[in-house]
Amino acid sequence: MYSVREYARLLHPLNPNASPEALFLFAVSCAPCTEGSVGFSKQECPRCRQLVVGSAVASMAMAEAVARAGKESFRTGVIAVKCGMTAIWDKWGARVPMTVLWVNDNHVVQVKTEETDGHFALQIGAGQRKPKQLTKPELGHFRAAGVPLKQHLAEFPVTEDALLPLGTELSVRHFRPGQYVDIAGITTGKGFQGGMKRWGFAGMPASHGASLSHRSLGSTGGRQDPGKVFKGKKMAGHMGAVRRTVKNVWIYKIEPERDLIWVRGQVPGHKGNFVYIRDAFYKKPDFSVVPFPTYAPDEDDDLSALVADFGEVDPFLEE
Amino acid sequence: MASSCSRQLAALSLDSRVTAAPKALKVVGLSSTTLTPTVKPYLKQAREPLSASLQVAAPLKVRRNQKCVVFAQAVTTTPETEAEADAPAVLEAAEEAPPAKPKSKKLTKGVKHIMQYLDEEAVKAANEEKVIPDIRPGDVIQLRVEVPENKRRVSLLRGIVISRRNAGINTTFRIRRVIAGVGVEMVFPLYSPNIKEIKVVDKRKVRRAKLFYLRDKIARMSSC
Repeated sequence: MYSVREYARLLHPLNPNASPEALFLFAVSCAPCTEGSVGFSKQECPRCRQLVVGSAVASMAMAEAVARAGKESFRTGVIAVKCGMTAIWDKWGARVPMTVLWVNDNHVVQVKTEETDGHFALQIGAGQRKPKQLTKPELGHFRAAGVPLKQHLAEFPVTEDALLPLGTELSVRHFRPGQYVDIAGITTGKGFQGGMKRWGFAGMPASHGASLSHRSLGSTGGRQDPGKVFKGKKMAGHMGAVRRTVKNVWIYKIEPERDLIWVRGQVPGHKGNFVYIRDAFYKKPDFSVVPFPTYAPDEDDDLSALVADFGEVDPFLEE
Repeated sequence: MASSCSRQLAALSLDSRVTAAPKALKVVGLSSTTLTPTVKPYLKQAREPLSASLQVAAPLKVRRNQKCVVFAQAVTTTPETEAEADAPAVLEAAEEAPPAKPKSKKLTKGVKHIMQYLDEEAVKAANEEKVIPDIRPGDVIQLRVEVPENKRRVSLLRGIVISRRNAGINTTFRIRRVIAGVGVEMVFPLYSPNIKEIKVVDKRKVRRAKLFYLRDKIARMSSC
């Protein structure tokens, strides 16, 4: 019987000792279990509590797919907590704003497949929680996965070859410095705001006879034709506290020892908010450098921080 | 006693992982956080069996109602407390720490501690690289600054410090000088690598932290 970690390591595409046995793996559905629950081979199926018996053909195909992470592959993301912002000086003396994100105990809590749920996705849990703070259905959900109790759950759609077994721990080494990521989060709530703040309207002059309408919307449409205000007219209303994604954020530093990721720039939301980090959609990572489907941890891993380079060209001296 | 933040901060510092001798536990100061019991200084330690004297490495400036977390180890004076103190076992094995017991849903306090620790580390690293003198308002200082935008020329700047704004690694100070009849103020981050040297030339007696009144005074007061 192998543990989850040993399987992950055996299966790592760069591992020359990957045994054929290890090819029974990720997201094999349990044959005796009619619900097709997912576990992985030689482990107990979380639903029917029998040894998972998967089909060898499916496993082999999946293992090959893992080894050949193709252009269409999409890995899982990670849930992090926004710690705050700071700034560093790069080696050329320029000031670079940084956001620090903390990846707090991420585990795979549920694996969704085409057969069971209609799509391929991984539900990741982050944080810690006491049993008394969770409802019984929630407790059962974590018990079925065999993971510690989590504070926050989020789903990340993935491709089939990027599925991970239940209980896999995701660390910051899932990413590499110098990589681009998309970061999504709930933005800071601003309450009920007027047109000028919410939509960037220009308002009206502060003096010169403008009466009672310095910050108002102005006109809302035509006259008899069309005779109505179009739907979606930009008006005052609630602003903020919605999910937004900041794209192509550059990762500067990864600290595996402290579970921290430093990224350049801003990230939506307040400090203490959960954000969802995924590989950038428009600047896809190179899977020969970035671990696919995730980082397989090892006992004698180097836990020192990995820092990206700011380039060889001095931006101030170039004309 | 492991606090709520202990697990979160457990992996934070490598250098402060103390292999504690059971007898005398050292004071490790404000910023080391590996699973040391966090003690709030204004709480009585009556319940603790340790007849301990809590020592603080750096002088703390605590405002009256401000909660302050002091990461220090109690210096044990009685032999029976070493059996009770589970600190050595807790210190050695950071990986076998008990799972964190979060107190509240929001993580704002925990992340603040993380940022504070990172800031202190950055300041310490910057101080090790070069000597940064203590700059106070009223000092007349001379700077050698490398300006990246100006083809990396090193310029010599001089002026009186009129303000210092403390923010860890982002601490900034302002110098003022009258150059060719025009008052000029310049703002610099204290730990910037572009500042090659700071020399304190003169100290003036001032009774304020911010000398913005010099802007309304005659030019002779700001010239130096």
